[in-house]
Amino acid sequence: MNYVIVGNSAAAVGAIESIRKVDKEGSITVVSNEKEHVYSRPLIAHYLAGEVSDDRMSYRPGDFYEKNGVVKRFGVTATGIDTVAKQLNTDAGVIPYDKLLLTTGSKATVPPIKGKDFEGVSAFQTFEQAKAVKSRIAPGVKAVVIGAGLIGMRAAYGLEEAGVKVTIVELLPRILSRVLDEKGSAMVQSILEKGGMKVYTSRKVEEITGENGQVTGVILDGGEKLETTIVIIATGVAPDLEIVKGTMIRTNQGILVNSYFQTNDSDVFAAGDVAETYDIPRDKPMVNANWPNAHEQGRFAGLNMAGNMTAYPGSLGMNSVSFFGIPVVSLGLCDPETEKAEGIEIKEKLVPENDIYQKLVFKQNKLKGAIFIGDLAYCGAIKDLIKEQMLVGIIKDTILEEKYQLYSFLRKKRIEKVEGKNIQWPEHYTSQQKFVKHFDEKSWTEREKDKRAWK
Amino acid sequence: MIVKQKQVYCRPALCIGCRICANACAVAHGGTTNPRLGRINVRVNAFQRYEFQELCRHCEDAPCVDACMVGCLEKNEETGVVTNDDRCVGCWMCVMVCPFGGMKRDVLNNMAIKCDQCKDIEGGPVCVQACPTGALVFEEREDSVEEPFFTGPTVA
Repeated sequence: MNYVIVGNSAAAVGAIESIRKVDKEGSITVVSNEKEHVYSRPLIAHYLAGEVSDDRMSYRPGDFYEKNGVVKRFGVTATGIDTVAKQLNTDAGVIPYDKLLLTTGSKATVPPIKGKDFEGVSAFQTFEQAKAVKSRIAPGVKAVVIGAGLIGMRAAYGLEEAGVKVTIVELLPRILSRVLDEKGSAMVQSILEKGGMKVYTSRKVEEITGENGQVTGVILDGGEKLETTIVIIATGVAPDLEIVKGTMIRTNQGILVNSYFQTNDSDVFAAGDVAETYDIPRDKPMVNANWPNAHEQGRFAGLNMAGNMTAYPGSLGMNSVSFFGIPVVSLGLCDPETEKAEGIEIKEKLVPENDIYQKLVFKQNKLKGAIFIGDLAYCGAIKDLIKEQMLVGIIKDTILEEKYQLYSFLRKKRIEKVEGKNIQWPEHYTSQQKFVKHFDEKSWTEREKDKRAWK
Repeated sequence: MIVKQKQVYCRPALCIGCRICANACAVAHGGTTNPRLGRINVRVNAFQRYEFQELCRHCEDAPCVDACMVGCLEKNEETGVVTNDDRCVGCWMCVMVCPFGGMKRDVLNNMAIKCDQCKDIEGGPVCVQACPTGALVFEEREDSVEEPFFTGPTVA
């Protein structure tokens, strides 16, 4: 078997490892437009902060490719796929494949701001860009980060750690609007401001100014001018669909895949940030771009490519980041107001003076999302409850209490204990009909139908 | 998820919740006498009864290995032991995904800490050696999936 993988990051590594677990003989080729050994993208913020040195950036040991018998085609850009002839077109000739995996990830979307081509202005996604930014760090340097999403905040915090005075400019009224809710955003913003960073929300960057090709400042709406020598544009990312343009492979936001990570061509697989997979709490296909999902999806895709068909249960939006020693975790659907979800019940615990905020989002006795700031408490177990979509009806009120022993409930036992043995459990359904009058059969069947339709 | 290999198990009938295991672990691995920094932590409930041990289960397809963005968490293919190393930067991704609470935060060193089954220590896991009642055992079990989760009727 001839496996070809496009892209070289978390999902690709996961795929290589799992292919080699099943198939020790097939040849694996990795095509990547970057020349580096596989490195960790989220780590570039820590690299900027000086916490991690150059040689510690690699995600796997130096002999990873040799050990797994991988043919490296680095610095080669894949331009297209010929699904009929089963060939991958690149700028260095064609590469035939039996099974192709697309893990091209996402790329930064740069808005058309005037002056974005000056030196010192960059996105913050690759190691190369991080190196370029780091080379400009010097004592007394100021920086402006445009966009307060996760990438922007990570970059800003990395710069702050490195001793740079950072200003964050966000178009929307609050920071981290994709991963936190209003209260969470306000709390994180106050943490950042306490730490000495400046955050401008609801402000727009009109122009980036420069001299002799070097950036010198940023002009905000209203004419305010910020002096700076570093500008990071982190206004968002989108799946990199360049390679499937003009092919039969169907896309929506990302590349559409089934639960075996096959696209509509059964020999072409897609995984990681580029794939649109089933999102468990929202119960619909979505792109969940984060590191844990990418590696996990790559692992499943690799197994499926090697013929060991394993269905993927679904992905979950989750992220963890910390500012000034205060951890922030966001899981699943944590901002129902903005997403206009219905039938939502919220339990929360807010201690502003200690920077602690915990929030759980329930829908029909199931956990759909959570936010933990300051105190991570049981967030691992909560993530498990969300991922398994367990029934947690009667512990709703006590789940955030400090002494509550959530860890004593795990998997099936946890459901039994939490909901009682006689309740809403499909495999017991026939034998226990008299106990389950309130069980809504229609909702179950409809849910199952939807799941099948997706698969 | 729990893999069938040698694991530290608690026999609940014998556990008195003294936390000597956690302290011994913190001393052996961190050099402090702080049970909170032990890689094992046996939690007791409101009735002061053993309930659940927060301890790494060295899962097959471990979610922490998926989540680790540094690549410092890895599962040894021969022994099956999941280990962390000093490259850890404290992003808490692993803490976020571990359903067993086996990953803990060491805030002072900004590192995640976890059980490595005392692979470098002679005589096996120190928690098992230190347990005064013999409640902790280091063995391979047949029914390793169900056993460690549930210890009899408790009040929810």
